[in-house]
Amino acid sequence: MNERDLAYLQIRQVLALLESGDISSEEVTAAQLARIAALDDRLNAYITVLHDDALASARQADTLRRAGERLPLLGIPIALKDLLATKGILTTGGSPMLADNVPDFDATVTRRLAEAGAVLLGKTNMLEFAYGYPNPEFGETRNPWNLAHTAGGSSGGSVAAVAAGLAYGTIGSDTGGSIRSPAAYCGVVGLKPTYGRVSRHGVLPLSWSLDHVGPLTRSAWDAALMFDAISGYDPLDPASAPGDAPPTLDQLDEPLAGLRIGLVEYFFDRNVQDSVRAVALEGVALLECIGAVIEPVTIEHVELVSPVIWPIVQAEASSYHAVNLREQPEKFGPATRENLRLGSTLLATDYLAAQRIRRLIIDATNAALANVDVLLFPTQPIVAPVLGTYKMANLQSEGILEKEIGHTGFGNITGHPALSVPCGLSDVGLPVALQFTGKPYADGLLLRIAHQFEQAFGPFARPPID
Amino acid sequence: MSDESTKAEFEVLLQLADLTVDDDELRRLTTLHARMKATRDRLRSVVLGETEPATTLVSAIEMGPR
Repeated sequence: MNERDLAYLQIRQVLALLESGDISSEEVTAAQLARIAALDDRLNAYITVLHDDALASARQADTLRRAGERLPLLGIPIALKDLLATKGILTTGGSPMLADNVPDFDATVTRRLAEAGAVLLGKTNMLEFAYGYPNPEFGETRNPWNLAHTAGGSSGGSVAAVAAGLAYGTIGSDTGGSIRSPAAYCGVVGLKPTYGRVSRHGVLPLSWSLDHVGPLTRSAWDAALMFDAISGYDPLDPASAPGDAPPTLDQLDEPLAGLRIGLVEYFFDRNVQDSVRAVALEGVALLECIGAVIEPVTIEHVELVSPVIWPIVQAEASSYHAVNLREQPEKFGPATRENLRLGSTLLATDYLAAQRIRRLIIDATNAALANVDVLLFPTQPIVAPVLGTYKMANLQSEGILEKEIGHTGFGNITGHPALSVPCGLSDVGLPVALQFTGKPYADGLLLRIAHQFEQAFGPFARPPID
Repeated sequence: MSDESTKAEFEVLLQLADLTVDDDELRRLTTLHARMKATRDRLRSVVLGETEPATTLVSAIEMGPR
């Protein structure tokens, strides 16, 4: 097997090679580090790469495996978005504000992945504090499918690393679509779990009533494996859902025949590029072929997703960053600073108006899901924009973020689980994806649908990065 | 509301937030503030007549049986 083929294996396949003894974690990790060294100058996916620590961790995983240990991610090289606390390892949030921030503790997700045996390759690039704009000092992550285009955000580094074979799985965060949007742009699987299902303890907040943490992988099977490793109650996150999270991996092959899928017509229309719609509808046809029943669905108030989510994000983010905004504003990038200032001037009544309409959207979504098992629409209405799109607000017109967040912000407002799975390439050769939204705590069903969709679709193409 | 009064209103909001900005930033922020006000008016028109109280953080995450 050549190095490129090795880099693009799925976690399931790497685990089989490790188990058979055909390859060691040290060899896999060394190959990943070499690939990062060769390609990341072009992608800008990593902020910190842990060369020696990763190899030491891999050697330890090999020792454990030889001793009979069988942890779910034992010896698998992964990476974390640079807003998850990592003990003794730089955690910047993509901002010069935290250029010297070395936490003395691990985020719960960091700890759970380590306990599952994962090998940490490094910390990935992101839009500053996950807000929607790259800080000029860190720069934007490029899309492996076309380096003139963005990987998207805010988890762009995590997504590009998976898409380009620079990690077997990564963790991202999602406040308005920051897992699913770049996942769609780069052709990987991204899961925003049900609100409360995955702990945010030790994850830098953007907007705590909207923030989620989830996996990014090259298959739904891999996403289920990572999700099972990180999900479940955490007393350190006040919004954590009580109770155990049932495992999802063993449900993936249960039949889908008769599954009722509600096609949300509004999201097939709103700002949707023709090529994106055409590819997405091919995906819908494939779902019918594997037994799903498709029916049109309307959801009251969904046109208000973008107007509702912005005041919530702005108010909560500005509250979190209030002290630094007053005392050292120069350390924020200009676009982030501008939005934090705007958020600081919002009236409490405007924030609460948004929260009240949020309640209406949640109720309408639950009503729609009373008649179908999941909702379906394109993850994003567009393909990956060109580099430089995420910049200071245009004073004359709606920006790209408003278009994006109108589709993906829906799941953040309601807290329902939402998963993005690639479904083809557009007429310009960039990935297009479908997004499934399920009932609360139906994360496993979304992974099951995506897994069986992938089986029917066949292997997704590799980006032309090397 | 005129541009000048919008600017004056925004300057008051900045003062209440203990923030200071230069003139260029103030011009940009005032324009964006006016756009936010349009959104605010749209949201207010939706909640007008709604009798349910504001969503609390607890009710925002309470989504039915688990």
